Amino acid sequence: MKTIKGKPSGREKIRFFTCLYSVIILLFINPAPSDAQRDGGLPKSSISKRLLISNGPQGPIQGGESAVTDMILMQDGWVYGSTKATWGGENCHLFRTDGEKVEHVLNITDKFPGQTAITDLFAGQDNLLYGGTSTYDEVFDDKGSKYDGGHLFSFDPLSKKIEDFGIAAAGQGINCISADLTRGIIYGISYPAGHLFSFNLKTKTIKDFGEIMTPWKIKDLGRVSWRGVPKVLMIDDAGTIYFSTYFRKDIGVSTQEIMKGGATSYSSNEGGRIYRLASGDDKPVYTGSVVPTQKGMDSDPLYENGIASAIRAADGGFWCGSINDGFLFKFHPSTSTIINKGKSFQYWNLKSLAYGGDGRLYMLGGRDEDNSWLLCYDTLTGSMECLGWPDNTTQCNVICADKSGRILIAENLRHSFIWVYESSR
Amino acid sequence: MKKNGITIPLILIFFTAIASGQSINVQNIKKIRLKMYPAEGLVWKGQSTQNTNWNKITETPDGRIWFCGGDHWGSDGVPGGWDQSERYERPWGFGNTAICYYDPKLDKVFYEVELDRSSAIYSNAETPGHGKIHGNIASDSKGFLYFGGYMGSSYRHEYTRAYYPKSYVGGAIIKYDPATKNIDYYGIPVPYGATVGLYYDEVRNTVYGITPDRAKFWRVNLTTMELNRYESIARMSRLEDRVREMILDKKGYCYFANDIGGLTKYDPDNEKFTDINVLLPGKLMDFRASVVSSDNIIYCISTDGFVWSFNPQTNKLTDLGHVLGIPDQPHYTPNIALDEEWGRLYFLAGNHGGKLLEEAIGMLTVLDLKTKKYHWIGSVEGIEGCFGAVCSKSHSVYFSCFGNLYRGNEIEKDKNGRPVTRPYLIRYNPPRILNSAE
Repeated sequence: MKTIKGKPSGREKIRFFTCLYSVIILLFINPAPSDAQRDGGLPKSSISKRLLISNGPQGPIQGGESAVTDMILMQDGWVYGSTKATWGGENCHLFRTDGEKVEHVLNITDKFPGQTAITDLFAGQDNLLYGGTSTYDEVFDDKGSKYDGGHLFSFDPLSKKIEDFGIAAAGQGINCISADLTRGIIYGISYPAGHLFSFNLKTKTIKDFGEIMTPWKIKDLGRVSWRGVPKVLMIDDAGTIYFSTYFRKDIGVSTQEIMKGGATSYSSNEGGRIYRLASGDDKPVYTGSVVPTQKGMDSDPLYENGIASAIRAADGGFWCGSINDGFLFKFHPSTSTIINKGKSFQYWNLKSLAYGGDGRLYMLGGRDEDNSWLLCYDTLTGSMECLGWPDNTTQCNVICADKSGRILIAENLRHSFIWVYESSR
Repeated sequence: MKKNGITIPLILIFFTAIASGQSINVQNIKKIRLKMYPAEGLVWKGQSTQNTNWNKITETPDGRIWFCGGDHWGSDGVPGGWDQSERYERPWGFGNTAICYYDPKLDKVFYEVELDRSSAIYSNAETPGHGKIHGNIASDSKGFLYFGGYMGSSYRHEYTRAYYPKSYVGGAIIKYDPATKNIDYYGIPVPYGATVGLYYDEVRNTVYGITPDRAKFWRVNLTTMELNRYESIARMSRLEDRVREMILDKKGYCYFANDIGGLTKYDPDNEKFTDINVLLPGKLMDFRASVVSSDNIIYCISTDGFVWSFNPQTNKLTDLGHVLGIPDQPHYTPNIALDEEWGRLYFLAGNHGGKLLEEAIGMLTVLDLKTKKYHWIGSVEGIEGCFGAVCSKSHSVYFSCFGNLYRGNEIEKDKNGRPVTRPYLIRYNPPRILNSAE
């Protein structure tokens, strides 16, 4: 921090009072949650804070740079979050919050030019934060693009030191990561190519396990993207990783329909197939488990089927949320068993999971780029409940428990807020 | 210099708080009555079903003023004196709007077209139609009209219940040619979402709009039929009410009040959004009505009545003070009209639905842009609310209102003898010299 010596000049006084004025204004425009809740809102008293992440045009986190992609509670008691740039924004950031305030930590784009998104974070036992970066989908769709590829990095919250592990896959972003720190390996999935790769922290070498999802390119309302690329990597104590992907099946054309020179088969993509890669193996294998879905929706040509979120359960299994239906289910890796708990709202995409301080499993679900619902599952009684949404325009992406067990709900908009939910209030 | 360090911020604070210092004398308010031109159409059992009008209005090149009236029947259930059971009986369903025009040469209103039929909405009580237009009735240089639908309280479904089987389908977009009566239906940009702001960019042949609750911004290119939906860009979460307005400037850039009290600018050519480093005046830091001059100066009024201008060329915002000088009063002025030749802005205060509060005054106000002086012409009798205003080439100012309807000195009543609420246009012919009007 810069130390100011001597008396402040007139210019500094102007700056000080202008800042004071801005703070007054910002305090004024950032009041407690309003009374005007629509039907479906969380109890007003349960939201104790609403924290603005964006700092506005003067930054450091400008408009279009505050869409939160992930949040993780670290050993220093702060929740560290990552952002991505949206709709013309150019920078992505690391920030941190204690549920009372938000502090900017680092402009990642400054460190790694061309990277406009931190797509995933992972906290190791070594109290380092691991992350992967990517860029806009439009960049991947531009054949003349000079994007070099997403970076793997670690960040030490204590020393503020960032270490660049380099580019994981040339020209490709990183969609998600997980780490087997016992063996010193970070796993990741490239985007949009859909390759599984690993990075050895000791040897600093990258291994490409090949394509695990054939990129499924779409252009919806003018926006290009790729569906089906796994969003989550789960890892068990044995260092085996699990993910859901699609299985391409060829279906023969009936004899009566075959045309001269025409295809004799067509392919059907069947999604939600859970694969595993054991430590030391070179090729992922199908576990036989399928993400639960309405019958037939696993091969729907429009809706994505797979795992949107996962969190380790106390019994060694993984609680998972599905994309297509928004089901909560438990995947037991030792037996490849699926137990579907269903859902308590009418929407889909159960995109984030977190244990609250009360021991309940909290869930965030909702339409992709739209409203967000907070739900909870009582692991003791097996009861599931839809709690509501924070405010009428919230569009949230991730939840995380803070050191007090409160649930932080973070948005993915141009000017994103974090909502602090306290079940006891 | 030392003095400036304290003085400038204090000036800023007081400037925001009391604006230009002009304030209306509420003890000395003149009542005026202006001729009312009720919307035509939507007659059921020999009686108009219309009771709302909550849209911006336009003047086409032929001098006609286009406005509308809606029945307001929808999820908010404001049947306007009718029995709720009627909703299962009307042939054109539940929630509908009639577009009309006022011909100044004939001094008469004509019914033109019905919105539910234009957009092929098979409305009924369970899947309601467009109970009003809440956005703009926009027009272009050739006289084509552009408008979209709205259903009162549709946001209750739009946001939380849209996927139950019965919902308002969303604000359909129509292009209408008054010369040929041809209707082009462009579909529903945001399913289940009503339309509150609607603008047409003639250069790009593109319609822009926003939804009320989630503040979803969208555009439809009418040439290519491409639809782009953006995020909740127009959101202002400090507002207890929903978003109602966006700006389209003369170069095709769109502007939105944002969550940090400033403006976000949209570039239509590269679809990028950038925040402009300004703070909007007032407590709510938004805008509810906008008008753009031919030299591309934007004029706006906020929900709490602060008037400001913005120059996109210099990014300079000018606080023009409060429309009545009493910002804490519960009046509501979501309308603004610009007379460029005479250098004036016109406003009409009112309520957001329901009977007019005494404090709301219903004041017809003129701001002289040269002197920055407000002129309070009088409190207009009968009106409850006004959402749209336009100044014609002949300097007449039209306000799209709803409220009690006077026909001469008689107030229109329903079959039970109660004064009805009707949508209508009022016309104000301002004097060339303003002081003579006060």
